[in-house]
Amino acid sequence: MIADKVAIIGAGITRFHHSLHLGKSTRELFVEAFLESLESVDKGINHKDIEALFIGNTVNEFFEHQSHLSSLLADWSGLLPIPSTRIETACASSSTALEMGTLAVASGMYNIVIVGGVEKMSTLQTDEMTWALMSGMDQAYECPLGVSNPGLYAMMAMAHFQKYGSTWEQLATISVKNHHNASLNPKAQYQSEIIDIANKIGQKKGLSFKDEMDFLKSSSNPYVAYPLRLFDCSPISDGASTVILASTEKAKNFTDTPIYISGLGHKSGTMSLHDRNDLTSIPSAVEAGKNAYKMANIEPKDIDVAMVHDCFTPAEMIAIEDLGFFAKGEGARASEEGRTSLSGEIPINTDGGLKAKGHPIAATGTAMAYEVWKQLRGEAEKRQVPNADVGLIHNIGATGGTAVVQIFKR
Amino acid sequence: MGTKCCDCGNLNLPPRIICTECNGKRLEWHEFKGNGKLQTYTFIYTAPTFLKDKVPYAVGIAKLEEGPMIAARISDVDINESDRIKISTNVKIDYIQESGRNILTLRIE
Repeated sequence: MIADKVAIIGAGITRFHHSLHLGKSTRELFVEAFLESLESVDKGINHKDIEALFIGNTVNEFFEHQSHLSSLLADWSGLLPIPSTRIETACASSSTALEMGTLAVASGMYNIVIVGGVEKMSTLQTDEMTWALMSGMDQAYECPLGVSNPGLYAMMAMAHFQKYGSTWEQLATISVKNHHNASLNPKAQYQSEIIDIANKIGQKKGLSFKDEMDFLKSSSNPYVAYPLRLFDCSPISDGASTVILASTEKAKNFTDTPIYISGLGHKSGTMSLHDRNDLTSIPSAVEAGKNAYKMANIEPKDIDVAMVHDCFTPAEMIAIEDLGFFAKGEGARASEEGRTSLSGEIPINTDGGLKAKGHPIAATGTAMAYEVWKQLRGEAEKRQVPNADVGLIHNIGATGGTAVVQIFKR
Repeated sequence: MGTKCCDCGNLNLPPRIICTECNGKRLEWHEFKGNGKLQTYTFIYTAPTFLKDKVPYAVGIAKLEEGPMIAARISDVDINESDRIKISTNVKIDYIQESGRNILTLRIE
């Protein structure tokens, strides 16, 4: 019914970065991505063809004291008076926007819509930003304890280590991989291998590091929430991403390579981590994945490339287990063995992931879709996975209160 | 204090309005004994503003003997004694006062 009825005909993202966009506001970031997505349409598109706007944004009220982004971004994008809606599902906001846009087009109500996400995070100091992001956790039963988002994932990691024998060293390999991938991505926040970052910091501080692990175990990689350190955590970023959706019939007018939305999965999970039976898995992600695979009529082994929600390194370890790419408890070892690298059996986070590409919270979902779109069209340049025909995105709100999994086919 | 469902007997901590097991709407107060086992923990180093001065501090999740799990601060262990904290160690629920609020804590037995 819905599968393959809607296609991506264009996409655009700003560079994700913590300081490059200091002078730009949310509206400017969004318009930058929007204009790039218009330019990306192979046969061209007219502004006036767009019939609705679905935007993800999580906490702009904290960062800019600006809400009502539906109107602001439609206005500043030159899209008035089309219907515009802001969607918030914590860090899954823009993949949820993509889902809503897909359903809107599939319903027949619209032919062409824009979906996307934007977050401007660089306006606050670390402690204020930590508190702003804690609004995605349980305000009554988690926040007063002072347990942060990295703290929650740190506890999931500790439980996973205890249950399956996985180690922090194995998690560190995920960070190394994602930095390597980001070094090949001109849109990524950190375009350096960890070893290069280590050497640079070494030079500045008069230290020398034998290798990446030596650096990652040093005090130059301080703890954020034990056992997670700075390089286990996605950074503060500003950025925006947009994707243009069209009905399959209309898509041919715009491109000879539309990328079809074949599977949609979306499940809600408990607000608090402690209300979950198993601290080593995200049940909403498992179920969202199953729904997406069923709609797309495929199995995990059919996926050629996947972007998963590595807000922290244990999140990627758990994601690749939850999605059925590896057995439960095997995610850390699989990463360590290189099975998720660009040349591995299932390349994960080819764009650098949230860790190295950046994580402007609500911009992440449609940025994942952007990378899959590039990969499936053979446009991922140095990050290209050969023969990528089927891609997947996995976008999670907080610790799994929301899970969105989507499958795209060439 | 949590809730017990009058329809199916399920216990919820924190207290709920709708039973998480059967969606029942008839819930009554239930006092938990406060004994449990530690399931996981962490030490927070990057804190929100109101706790910036207390880093690093520990938080954990305990499974109470009655069934439910709950998150709490581990207030009687500082970073220098961190090897006193072990997963599956026995813990006891307690409270501390902080900035005029009751904060749930775990004491390591």
